[in-house]
Amino acid sequence: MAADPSPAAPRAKWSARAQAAGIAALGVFVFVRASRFTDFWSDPGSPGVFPALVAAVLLACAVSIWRQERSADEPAEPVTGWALLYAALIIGYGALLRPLGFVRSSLVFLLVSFLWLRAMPWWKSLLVAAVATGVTFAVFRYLFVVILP
Amino acid sequence: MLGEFLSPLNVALSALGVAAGILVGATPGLSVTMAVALLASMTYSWDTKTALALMLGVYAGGVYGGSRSSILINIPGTPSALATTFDGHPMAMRGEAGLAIGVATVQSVVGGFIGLLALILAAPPISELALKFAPRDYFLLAAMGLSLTGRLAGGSMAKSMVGAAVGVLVGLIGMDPITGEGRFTFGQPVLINGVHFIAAVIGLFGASEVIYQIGRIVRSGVPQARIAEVGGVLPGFRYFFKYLPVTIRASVIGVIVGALPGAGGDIAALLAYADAKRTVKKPSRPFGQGAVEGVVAPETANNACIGGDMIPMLTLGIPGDAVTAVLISVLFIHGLRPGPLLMVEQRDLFWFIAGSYGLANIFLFFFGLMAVRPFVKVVNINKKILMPLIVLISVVGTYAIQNNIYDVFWMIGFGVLGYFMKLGGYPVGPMVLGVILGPLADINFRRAMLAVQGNVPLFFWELVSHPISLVLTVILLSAFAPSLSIGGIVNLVRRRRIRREVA
Repeated sequence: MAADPSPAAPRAKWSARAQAAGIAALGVFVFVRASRFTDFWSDPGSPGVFPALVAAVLLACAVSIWRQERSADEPAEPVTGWALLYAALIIGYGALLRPLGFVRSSLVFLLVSFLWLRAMPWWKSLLVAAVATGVTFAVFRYLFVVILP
Repeated sequence: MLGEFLSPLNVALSALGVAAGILVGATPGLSVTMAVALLASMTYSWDTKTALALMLGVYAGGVYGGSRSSILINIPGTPSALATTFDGHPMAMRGEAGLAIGVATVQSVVGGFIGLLALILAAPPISELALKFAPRDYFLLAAMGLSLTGRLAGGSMAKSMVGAAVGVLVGLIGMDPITGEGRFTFGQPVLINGVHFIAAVIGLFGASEVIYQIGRIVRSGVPQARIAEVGGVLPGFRYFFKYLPVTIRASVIGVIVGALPGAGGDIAALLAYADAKRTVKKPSRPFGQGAVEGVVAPETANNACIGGDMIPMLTLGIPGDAVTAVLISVLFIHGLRPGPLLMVEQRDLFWFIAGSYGLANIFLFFFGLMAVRPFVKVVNINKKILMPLIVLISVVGTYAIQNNIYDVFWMIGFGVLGYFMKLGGYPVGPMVLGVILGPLADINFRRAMLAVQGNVPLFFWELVSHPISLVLTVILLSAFAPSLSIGGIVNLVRRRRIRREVA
């Protein structure tokens, strides 16, 4: 590892290739789907023609991304485990909306977020979570006339 | 009727919108697009005009507000304020933060009014012309918008195009409007109505940003930015006349870039900055070290761009940028079809939008010069508290669109997708435009094909034999020619002028 002057470079290259492969796969998939729409092979006005054009653009982009080195101006942000965990927390929030209802799931989500991020002491977290949920509920219920589940 | 934008409710909402917009724009991580999309969902039950008054205020305030954090903490609050960091922050470091804010305010208002003037002058004739547009012309315009987002978004063109293409595919999900068959629905009845545009925007601009920011905060702790001292704000209007040439050039760039479908304020500001750098022979200080011209040019251009962006939105129903894409869907939600007929049949709506936007600019002037110091505190709010609250509002706001829990799931899905796109350097802005422009391009392409009864050579012949189509075709092709990007055109014009001066 120490002999390699820039250990990030080959990783960036393989990352770009993986992205290119994913985009190409999407392009092929879209084309295959589009080719099955009504009259694709006989009518230039078929619902599949424009999606097929988009698939061609995706394939062209995949070629271009495969060949390009990661340019200097791009932020080389690594995936962070914390971000993924937080994404999972948001997904959990969405999943709890129906079983728990809006008020309870929002309270839980905010409280877990604040405590996990160590944003505030626990009593303050509880207070902010309760007030924010209450205000949001009231504003949507009365100002924007939305009935929340 | 004509003075409807002056009703007390609309005036109050306009003021509220501008104030909220400045806060949103100045807070890095909160984008104008997200704010307007959230408002679009919340104001579903409101009167169209009342909702528009609020959203136009947020639009104007937000584009301006980005300059605040650019100047004070060297972080652009919105993408369109990126160019303002180049000289705005150096000014603040020299103890001229007040002057920089004052100049940014005056220039934003001036740019805003020039953009408004362009809108008022250009929109009626363009809408008259647009009545003669055939489906193939709309196809060309939509294709132009899609290719320009790729061409101009900065960074990798291929990656922007991927974003736009994925957006197009998302836009095409659902029942095909001509044959009635499901496209990309995979037999799922939930997908037959497609993905709600506003839900996608809230996910791409709201939830994804939250995930991204949380990743950074936890890794590096809360970055407490060093805030520059703010001196006197009153700008000294002498600067206004001194920098009038820069102002005019920047306004023209802003309006033109805005009027192009698909290109918005971020590009306008960067182009205007580059233009000022090349044309101003003796700046107040070298560019990059606190030149006042370096604040004047981008701040004029990004607000002038708003008026420009609204020209294709109101006359053709084609978005000039991501925010106008949201505004178009707002009009649709309220049962209106933005396009040339709307301009003819609902002239009062056009004048309401123009008047309301003018009013927002007046509020912008006063709010911009008021309460700078307490304001700084708000912008520096703890992200660990703010980000979870954004998720809450995004979830509730998305649900509010049509009381549909699936929209919330989509929003979260797009949030996660947007996060990975950001990591890979794929901009989400082109994707939003793709969702709107894709179906437009598709339906008009097929109407054009129906019009020529599937005769492809005849279709291409019509592209070059009708004057309107020919002009649009040439513009579209020039967007693909590598040497003829906007920057290339600017360069060409300049070279010719230099040659003329030399001769």
